[in-house]
Amino acid sequence: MKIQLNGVPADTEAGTLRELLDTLPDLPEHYAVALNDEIIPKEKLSAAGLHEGDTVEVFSFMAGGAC
Amino acid sequence: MTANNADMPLSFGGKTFRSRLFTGTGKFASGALLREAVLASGTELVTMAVKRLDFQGHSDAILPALKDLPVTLLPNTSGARTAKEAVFAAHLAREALGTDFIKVEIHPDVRYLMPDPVETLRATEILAGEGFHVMAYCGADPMLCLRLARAGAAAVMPLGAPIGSNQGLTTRAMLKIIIAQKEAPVVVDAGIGLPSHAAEAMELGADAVLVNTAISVSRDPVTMARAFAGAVAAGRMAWLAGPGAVSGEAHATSPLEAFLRDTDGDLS
Repeated sequence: MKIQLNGVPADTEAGTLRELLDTLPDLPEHYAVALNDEIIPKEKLSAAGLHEGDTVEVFSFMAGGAC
Repeated sequence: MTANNADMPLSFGGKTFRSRLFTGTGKFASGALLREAVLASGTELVTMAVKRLDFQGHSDAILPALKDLPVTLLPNTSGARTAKEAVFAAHLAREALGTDFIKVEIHPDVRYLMPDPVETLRATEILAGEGFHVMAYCGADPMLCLRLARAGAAAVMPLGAPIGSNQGLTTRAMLKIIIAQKEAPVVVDAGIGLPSHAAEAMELGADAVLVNTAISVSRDPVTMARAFAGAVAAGRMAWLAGPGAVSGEAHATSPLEAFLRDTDGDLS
């Protein structure tokens, strides 16, 4: 199934967001996930089904900002 | 210090900060250096950006470097161009970290990175209404700072100069007004390039300063962090001590007239 993962086309066999995240290397300890621009709480990742054409974005914390 | 000018720790968002130096995380050569500089600065509030992970390239993950340090983490919405994007970033930060602290940064203009006052006020209204402790990065506009405080900002963060410019307090006259009429703590943010600039902000009565670039791009960030800690403490102490008035004329510090009378006879 083809999805968009953080802006890049990806092919995945994962049926849920949880399964998709478990395939990712270097997933940081603290992260948040948006499925089609909607933030999915951690406790609902296993129930969030993936579908063809979905847009998944995974966010975390990086150095920087203003100042 | 005497009882008259003993300091109170700075409190907002349910947290108390003994250090009035807040720091950023950008432009450090390594996570290890960032960690050392944070420790040397004595800061208790550190800001970092909420960003989409780059699975293809270099990971710039920041939290491992800050793990177990005695600091409150302050996610910021850097990169947001609208209130809507900033609100989304705040929701991501809350989900990822379980924190209600958020620094609202909305600067769509890439050359000067000037914060957008309209979008910043809108985002502050929304997020404060949702229970966030909003620290609002903004221009040094006294009326805007009042409006942000009344919209529920936990602190306002007027800029001293453009982000990362190291120019110092180019907005000094406006900062004085902002501090004189503040209804929320004032944290001078952006443009502070030297410890003397930080001391100046504190001498003006700022509640705290936020410094990043001046520390991280210096030749020795750890020593510079220590220098900023000293400057902020000195500036704060001077504010509490009550600086003397500025005068356009000289005022002798010893009784000149008496000296002249006594010596008049000897000289003639």
